[in-house]
Amino acid sequence: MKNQLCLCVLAALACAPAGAADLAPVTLAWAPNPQTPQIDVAIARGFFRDAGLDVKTVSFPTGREAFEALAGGQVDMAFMAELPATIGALRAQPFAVVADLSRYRGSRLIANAKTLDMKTTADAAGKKVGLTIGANLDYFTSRLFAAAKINVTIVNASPPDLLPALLRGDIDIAVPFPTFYPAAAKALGENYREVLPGGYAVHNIVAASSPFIKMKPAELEKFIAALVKADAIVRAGPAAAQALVAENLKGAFTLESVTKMWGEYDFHTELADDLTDLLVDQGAWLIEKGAVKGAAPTAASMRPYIAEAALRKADASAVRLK
Amino acid sequence: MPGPAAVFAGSRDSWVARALEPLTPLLSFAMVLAVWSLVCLSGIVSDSVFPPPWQAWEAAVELYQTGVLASDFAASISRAAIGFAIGATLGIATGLLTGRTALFSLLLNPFLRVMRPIPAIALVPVAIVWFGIGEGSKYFLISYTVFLTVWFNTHHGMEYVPDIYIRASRCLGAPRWREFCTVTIPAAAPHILGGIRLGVALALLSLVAAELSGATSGIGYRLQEARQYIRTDRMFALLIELGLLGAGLDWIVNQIGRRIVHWEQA
Repeated sequence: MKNQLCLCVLAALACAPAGAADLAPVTLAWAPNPQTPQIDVAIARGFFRDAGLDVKTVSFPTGREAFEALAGGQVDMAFMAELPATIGALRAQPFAVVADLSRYRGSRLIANAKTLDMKTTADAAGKKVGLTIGANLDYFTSRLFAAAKINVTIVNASPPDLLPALLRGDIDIAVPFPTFYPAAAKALGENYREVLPGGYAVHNIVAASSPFIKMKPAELEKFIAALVKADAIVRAGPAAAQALVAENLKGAFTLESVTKMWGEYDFHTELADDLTDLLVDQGAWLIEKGAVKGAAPTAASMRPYIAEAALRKADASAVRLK
Repeated sequence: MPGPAAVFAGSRDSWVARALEPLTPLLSFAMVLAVWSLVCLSGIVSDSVFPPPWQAWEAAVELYQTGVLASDFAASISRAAIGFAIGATLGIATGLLTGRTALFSLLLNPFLRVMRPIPAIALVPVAIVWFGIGEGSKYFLISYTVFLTVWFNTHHGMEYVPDIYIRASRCLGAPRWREFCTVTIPAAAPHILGGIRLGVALALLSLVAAELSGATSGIGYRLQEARQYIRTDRMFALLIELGLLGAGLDWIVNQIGRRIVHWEQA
């Protein structure tokens, strides 16, 4: 009887669902945003948990701070735009990009018609352009105005200060992050003017720390596999993914705003040569402007900062690297 | 703090101690540099996280050669000086009023005491909405911090002027205005000077907060930029520049103060 009772208890324990203690912990620097619906879906549908991962998200105000936490070993993985990764590679930080979740080609110049009735990029000539120096949009505008041979006065401001500066007339044009577009349109109303010059795609990436890649390859593979699984759901049913993203943003973005921006994103978890090319060009730009010392980077020098093994295992067709 | 003379007290070579006295600050810096270098040479921390002194020096030379060091210094010192002048003037004037006039004290003290704990960095968004991202918001933030410190010290100094000084001047028939100028203010002057010295240090603290947004030059801006590009060598060079600037300004204010408030040192 006693033995039977013990067997019953053991059987019950074996059949019990995995608790948090059985899951492998992974710390991810990420906060809800419209650029990475794959992560929203993977969390909501329990893909990480099903894969045996206990993913804890930690919020940082910017990708740069998330990268600092990653390089400092405070988190295992981090979501960011590509520029912090470029800087990190030039500074030989211990990390690698493990997935490129989406590309955004809608970066725009925004003006207040009261100050500047902007219709084309050429209208920016001689104007005061507000942006956050050292962010990826600094690279975007720098390359844009250099190609168009336009001289502008760059005014540095933190992301939340750009819209008040535009409203006050301290700057003629603002180049904010996409998350500020709906607020700008609402605040400027009929005076809202925008130009989409194209030519640059923001890459919304996930990077992992070198110790995590080396010491926990199985966890990394499971994490990427869960993202690939979520990726298919996002692309098959965008409406549900949009609703989930809007819900997670808790009022910061309306469903309407999320839906409107959705078409400007290319959501697909991949690693391709366009990312390597962008890292190289951004690196060259950073060296040119003297922000970082060293020789101009090449595809070969940037390649070690892209770790594609986990994504190749989950979806070989998503890796298109030389 | 004991100087080398005190450290070597009792030693037969006391002349050596006296000769070393002016070198005390250099000994302190040499010790810090030695520890800093040893930590870096030991390899326990990465250069990109904790750069050695020679890398910080190279970064400082690089900033100097590109002209950035001088232009940032000029931009920051002008912002700090203007903000400090506005804040200190208003702080002394308000302190003189609240310290000796019951009506002003009643009307202003409670409000200013509530304002004192609010750090300048918390006012950055408001300053930008009110004054824009130009120089106005920076002057506002610096003068706000300096004003509250100088006001508090001036007010405190005025409140605690010994009664015996006032009674003596009145017994001698001094009119109120003369009593205020020749008795009250000189008695409170050491406190006011203390407030000004603190104000100089706080002007530099709030300068960094003020230059976080809307600036394309200045030591605070350059620190932010260095952070963006993980240039810890530049960060160290700039922090040392900021420290030297603060120490230099404090020394100047102290020297001027010693001449003005000469009776306090007597």
